[in-house]
Amino acid sequence: MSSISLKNIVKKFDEVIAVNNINFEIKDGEFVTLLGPSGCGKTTTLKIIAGLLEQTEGEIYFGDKNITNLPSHKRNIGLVFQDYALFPHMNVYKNVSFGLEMKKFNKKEIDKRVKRALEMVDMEGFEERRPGELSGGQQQRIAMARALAFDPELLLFDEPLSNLDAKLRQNIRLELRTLQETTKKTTIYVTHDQQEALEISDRIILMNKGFIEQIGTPEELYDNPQSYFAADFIGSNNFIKGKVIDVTGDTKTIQSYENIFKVKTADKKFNIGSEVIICIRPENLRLLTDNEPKDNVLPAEVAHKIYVGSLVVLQLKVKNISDNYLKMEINPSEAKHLKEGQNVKVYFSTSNLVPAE
Amino acid sequence: METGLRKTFSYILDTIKYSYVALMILWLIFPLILIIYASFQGTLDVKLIPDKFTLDTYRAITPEYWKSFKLSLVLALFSTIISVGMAAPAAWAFKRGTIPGKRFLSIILMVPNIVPKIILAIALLRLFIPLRLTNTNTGLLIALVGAYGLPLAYGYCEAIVEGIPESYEQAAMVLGANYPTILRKILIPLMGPGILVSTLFVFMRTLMTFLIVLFIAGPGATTISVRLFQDVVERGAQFESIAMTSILIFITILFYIVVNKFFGASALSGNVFDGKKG
Repeated sequence: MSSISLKNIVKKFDEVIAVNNINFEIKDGEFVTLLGPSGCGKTTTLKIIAGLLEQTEGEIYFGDKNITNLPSHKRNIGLVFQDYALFPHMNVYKNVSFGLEMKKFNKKEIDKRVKRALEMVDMEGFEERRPGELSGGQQQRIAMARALAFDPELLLFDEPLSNLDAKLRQNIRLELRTLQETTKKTTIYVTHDQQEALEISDRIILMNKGFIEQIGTPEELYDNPQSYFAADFIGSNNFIKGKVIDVTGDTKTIQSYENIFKVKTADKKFNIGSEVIICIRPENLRLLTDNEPKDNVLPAEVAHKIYVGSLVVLQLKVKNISDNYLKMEINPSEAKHLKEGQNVKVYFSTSNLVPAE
Repeated sequence: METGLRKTFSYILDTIKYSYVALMILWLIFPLILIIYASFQGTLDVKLIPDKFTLDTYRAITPEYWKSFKLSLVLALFSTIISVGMAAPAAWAFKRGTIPGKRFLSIILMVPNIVPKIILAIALLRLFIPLRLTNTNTGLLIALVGAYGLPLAYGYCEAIVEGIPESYEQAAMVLGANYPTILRKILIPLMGPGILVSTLFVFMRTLMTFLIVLFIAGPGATTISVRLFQDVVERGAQFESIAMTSILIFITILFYIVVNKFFGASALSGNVFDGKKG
């Protein structure tokens, strides 16, 4: 059983609280990402799980076993570092076999497992090379092979792709996920790249300033952010500040300056008088093409029209909404007739509500 | 043609550059060459083309000289071992450990590196007189380690430890290595070459050091550098002092050759901390 749970983990560095009462549980075989901006406590949390940092308070369990006071080298965890940390004075074979040597496997068994680990990351034949002779992507794979070779209970990744160029990142990212699905190892992955997190995770733990903001599947986090931070951090969003002036069933009526908006949400915490922010994803803004009466219509001026290949991004100037532009994404075919400076009408039917901060 | 003129110009420029460097080097090593020449010609009145060759100067080296030389070697050996032996673990502890005030302590440890030796020598004298450590080998050892060897060694060792990313040790630990194993398989192999070079440097500098010994030691405990100085002051340059000086120069040349051959040219300028090399 390689599930892992953290209970009330706190980490203080002198007066600074880096990790503030973290609680979560990860199921056997799950791929969970700790996501957040720099300084949110995700790497600190990972290091505490690995045993490289000692928590100030709290407990850690692997399955039923309380490993809170177990030293790092006894925890049976694989860790892939941001800078790979391959031992420069050893060749690839010795690097990958290191964990197996520590576990006192015999030579034949080590040979077998090293070969298999290198096969898994597509690096057979590299046994004699030194880390200094490998490219960044190759080093990354060897680091993975080294972490997998001794069959750990848990796999940890500390922003392993941040030193690679964009194209390489995308490719290896998917390989990593496929590898995890094959080996079925419980995995915790740390990154600040929300795109990456959405792509490869079963669940995401969103962190901010030492706290957990929200836990959920990529869909839940994208479609249903629970706070302004979550709505802003994940993907792109447009924000309209307002106040709830009516609640009828699930529909909340919100007033922002002279605009009236109707938002459907089952969330009970918004009542008359609540200060809220409406969050609208760029792909949920639509052009009003016919004259059918619709809710949430805004007159706008096309300030910029930006071609991005598969989409066209429109930056819209709307009166009294905010200082920023509204960002809208549409098909290039729909955008053909639009010109900068043109006046249009846009509307939305899908949106989220979060409390105003 | 244009290119012909250009070629001649760069040729002249190169000649000037190389001549300049050659002249500089000659200027710097001239005294050393003079001494070596003199030791094989038996006189300070050296001729550029030697007309006689003699080893009389070397045969003239007195037992007292050899005694001082031996003392220098022994002192240098012991103070180097003690200095590096203390500096290496200290550097690791200060850089990786959680000792309160460690930055302050490591700076204090390196202060003698920057203080002019004459000030250190006078301060040590002041300190040793009431402690009755002047004119003793023990006092000399303490002075050479505390004021000279240890700060020097620590400077090197700290740079070496800094050159090794902490993630190497962390990776080893997560892979199942306890501290003794990390020391054996990671730290010693990576720090080893740097420590070795540092040891050689500390040894050579302690061997030749002058001012501190001059102030602390007395006639019984003179190292070779001080004895040479005193002898030349008293009697001028004699056969034995010329020969002994040449021997010291030969040792220094040997040191440079060894370091260059086994550790590379960059190590000669003090680059001991490339922990990323295989």
